[in-house]
Amino acid sequence: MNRFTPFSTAPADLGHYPEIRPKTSYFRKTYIAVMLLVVGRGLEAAARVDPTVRRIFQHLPDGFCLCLGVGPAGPWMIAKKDKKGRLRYLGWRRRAARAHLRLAIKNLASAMRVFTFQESTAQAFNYDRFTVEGSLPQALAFMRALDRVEVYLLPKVIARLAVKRYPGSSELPGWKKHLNRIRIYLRAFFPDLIRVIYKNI
Amino acid sequence: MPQFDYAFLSHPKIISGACSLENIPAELAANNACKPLIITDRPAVAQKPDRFLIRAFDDSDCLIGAVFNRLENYAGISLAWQAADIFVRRGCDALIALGGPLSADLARAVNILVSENTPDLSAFFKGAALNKKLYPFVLVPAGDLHGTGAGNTLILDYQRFCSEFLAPDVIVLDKRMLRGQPAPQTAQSAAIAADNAWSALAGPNPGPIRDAFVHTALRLLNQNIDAALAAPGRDKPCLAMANAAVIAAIAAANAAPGIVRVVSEELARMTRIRRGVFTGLLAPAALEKSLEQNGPPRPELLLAVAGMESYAATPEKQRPARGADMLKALFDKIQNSLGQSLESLQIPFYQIRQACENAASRPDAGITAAEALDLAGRAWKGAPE
Amino acid sequence: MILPEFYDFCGRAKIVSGENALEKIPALLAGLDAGRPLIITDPGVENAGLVDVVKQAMAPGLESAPVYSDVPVDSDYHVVDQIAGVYRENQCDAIIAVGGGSVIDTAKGVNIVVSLGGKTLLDYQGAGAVRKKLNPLVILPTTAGTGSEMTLVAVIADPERREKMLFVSYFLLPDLAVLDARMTRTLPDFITAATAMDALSHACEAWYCMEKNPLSDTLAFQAIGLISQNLLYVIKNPEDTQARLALANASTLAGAAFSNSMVGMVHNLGHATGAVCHVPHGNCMAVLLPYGLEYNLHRRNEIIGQLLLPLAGPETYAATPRNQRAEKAITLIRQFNQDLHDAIGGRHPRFLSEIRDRDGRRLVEKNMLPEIAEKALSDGARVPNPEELLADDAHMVLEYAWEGTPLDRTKIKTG
Repeated sequence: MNRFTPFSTAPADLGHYPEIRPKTSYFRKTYIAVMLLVVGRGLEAAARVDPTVRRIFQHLPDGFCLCLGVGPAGPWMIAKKDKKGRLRYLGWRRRAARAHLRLAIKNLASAMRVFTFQESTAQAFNYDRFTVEGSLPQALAFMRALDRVEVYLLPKVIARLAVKRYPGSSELPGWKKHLNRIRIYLRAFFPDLIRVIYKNI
Repeated sequence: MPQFDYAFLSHPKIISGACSLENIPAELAANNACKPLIITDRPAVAQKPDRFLIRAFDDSDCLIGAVFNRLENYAGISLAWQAADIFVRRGCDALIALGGPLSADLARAVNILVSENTPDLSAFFKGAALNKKLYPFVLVPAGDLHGTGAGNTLILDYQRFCSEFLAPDVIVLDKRMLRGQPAPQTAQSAAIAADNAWSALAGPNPGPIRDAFVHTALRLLNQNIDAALAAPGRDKPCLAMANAAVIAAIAAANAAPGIVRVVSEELARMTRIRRGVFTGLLAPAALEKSLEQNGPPRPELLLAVAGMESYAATPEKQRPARGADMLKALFDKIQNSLGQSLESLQIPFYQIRQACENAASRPDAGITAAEALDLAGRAWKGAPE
Repeated sequence: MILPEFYDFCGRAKIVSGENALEKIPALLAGLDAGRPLIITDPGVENAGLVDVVKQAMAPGLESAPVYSDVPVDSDYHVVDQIAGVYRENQCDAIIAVGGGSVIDTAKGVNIVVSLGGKTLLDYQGAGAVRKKLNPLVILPTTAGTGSEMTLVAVIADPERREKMLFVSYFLLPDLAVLDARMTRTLPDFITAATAMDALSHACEAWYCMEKNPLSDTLAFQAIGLISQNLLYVIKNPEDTQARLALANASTLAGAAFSNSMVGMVHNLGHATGAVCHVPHGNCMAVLLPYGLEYNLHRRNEIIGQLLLPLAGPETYAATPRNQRAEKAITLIRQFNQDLHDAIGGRHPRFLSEIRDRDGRRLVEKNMLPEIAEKALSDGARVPNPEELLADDAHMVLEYAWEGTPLDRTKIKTG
């Protein structure tokens, strides 16, 4: 609309009808940010420890960069395959580097449902909570990796809510699961976690 | 008789359930919009659903142009002009109607004013077609489970304009908006939904898709009406009833309005009593009359009202009659919950007669004043004079 | 009827059905402010004379419309750009797509380019590229069918990168979907069977997959009933216009259902089989449908049991104990495949090893199954499937589908 033409001789007093700027929900944003940090570090660790996750990321192209988070204003998790072909969690600041795959949950409320396990990842996908920019096969591969990471990071009673099928002992024997879980937690929350946080602040 | 001879359009995208309000910014973005004007009515404001709607925009790219909340119990052109002024001066690019059918009507009127860039809607009320594309229009029913706003008719200053382009683009059903209905209001909304479903089912040129919509509405209605009436304002039954109402309204928009809808609209206009009351009172009598004149309904009605098990267990020859009985029982249940009768409303007879004549003079109605009066008489629980 | 925690539903195309539906097109286009359509079709449809039927029916209300009839089976963006050029040269303001899935997807792609003003379809890749109302689009499906007239998706190939581009937007839905028996009356019996089983698989999967919602349920229910009552009859009486119209309606209803409720492993494995072995889509669906139901039986027993009502009728439904209904429904679908196989002289395949090309060569060999199983991992139809389907699960199912024996459900991993 370029030129304003009043529709009536007594137009409304705009002062009675203020514009409303949306607010930010800091608690939800912080919670999701922490969860994404855990997922990112967990992915990086699982890619070294678990053969299924490793195979998934091996098939992705070199320099592959993925971005998972909540649109439009974050928080985000960025991970990238380095020159040695290993997946590295880069933090939460969106860099200039173009993400080959961006999975964005459409809003914080939906992200809360996913990250409080009221909806599994698959169900959230079905409910159209995600926008996928990039290759769909890569997005599906990433979701398989994410499912496996959730099995490691979460106790069974919660992981069963997050994944479609909790792997039985034929797919993932109990001893192996617990051993890998310990290894992933150690890798995820020690040595260079502090370096990553420092880089992103 | 050819069976598949019809046209059907369901324009709105229905979003229902958890976090459905929070989807609105993404829906606006998908329609290339980011600055909505919210139009809401006083009853809705009293229950504060606008706060939920505003919070649903948190952390989004959208800016809310304004919340226009001057609407009380009458939608007129002067209010539409005021809202249109705000829309233009704020540079809005979408409309959100929050509340009952009046908010939806006002939003539609504003949409036509700003899209066609004209202050005068009379041409449209006389039958002119819309020339320009309308702005995206999101309907968020609140404080009312009617579903009427989901249709394709604009009623402003008691004039009507019907166009398939007037249907909302998105309808958002969120339990936070639908709580707290008193029982009589739930019954009235159920009456409108049930009547919409029945007139869509019995209307001319039926087709499988309109039947599917009616089937859905009746099934949801019948499954949830007891819970909704017994404990009004409970989340799950309210959401189901709202779904039923919206789906029935979309089905009814694809059929001619039935006699009950036309007469109850005119009676509501004449007496200022809510339309749902008259719908609930007239519907059982209209159903009876229709069954007398046209014979038993199609057997699929039983499937819609009673569900698969009962349908399959009923012998084939008894299905039409049983379907009719169950529908009658549904209408009677709603009527009893209203707690009133035409007689107890103490409407002067001249008003009823005038309303019936107005109903007969409507071009979309296809009824005579005598038929309308006869219906009122049947529903009276006694003779009118 | 289950009201899920969350659902969304949009069936925005206006459906016009009837024995004289084609004659209504000019007036309906005028209502959309359009009067110069471009007809897009493929050589098969044109040779069958269907474009002439359409033009003749529209003649009183519409001047002659230009026709582009070279859409290939696997359409790519070069074709789309070429047709967009034809549209602009002829100063058209609408598109009428007459054909099956490939023609419809191509038409949707063309509509994007001509409405949004770009040079090539590649400019509109990516999420959120199509956010405005497009020019009027009318779809006349000539199979019954893919249901593409009710989907918000267009799949167009990018031959240079050897991948399929996916365009998703509610604005891709056509303004009109016109169902007229004249469009499917001459469809050969084996294509009628294959496309109707495609529609049946759409409806069944919409019924039991994870996005089921009340509206998609009733639409799927209607579709399944119409197909089970009319398909075999149409094979034997192909000239019956009411029955043809019933199947066309069923296909559109199933399209509306699955577009809003998504499909599952039957389409997952079917897409992969089609990509690797070039098997016609409908044949894959027909063969794999009972396996999809069996695989998900432990998660959806009662819901799959409800399919017995539209498949077999209320009497059989009432007479079958509740815990046996699902198995009976699956048996009925297998029997349906068998009856179609018998009625069409063996041209309707019952299992994967029976699918052959025109020269009688088997299209799916057993050594291709691992590749198909791997390919199935990259298809999005896995996600709405109730049970997880990884590569070895898919391979297991494909082996049984190849042999034609019912799935051994003890082998299904349930977690």
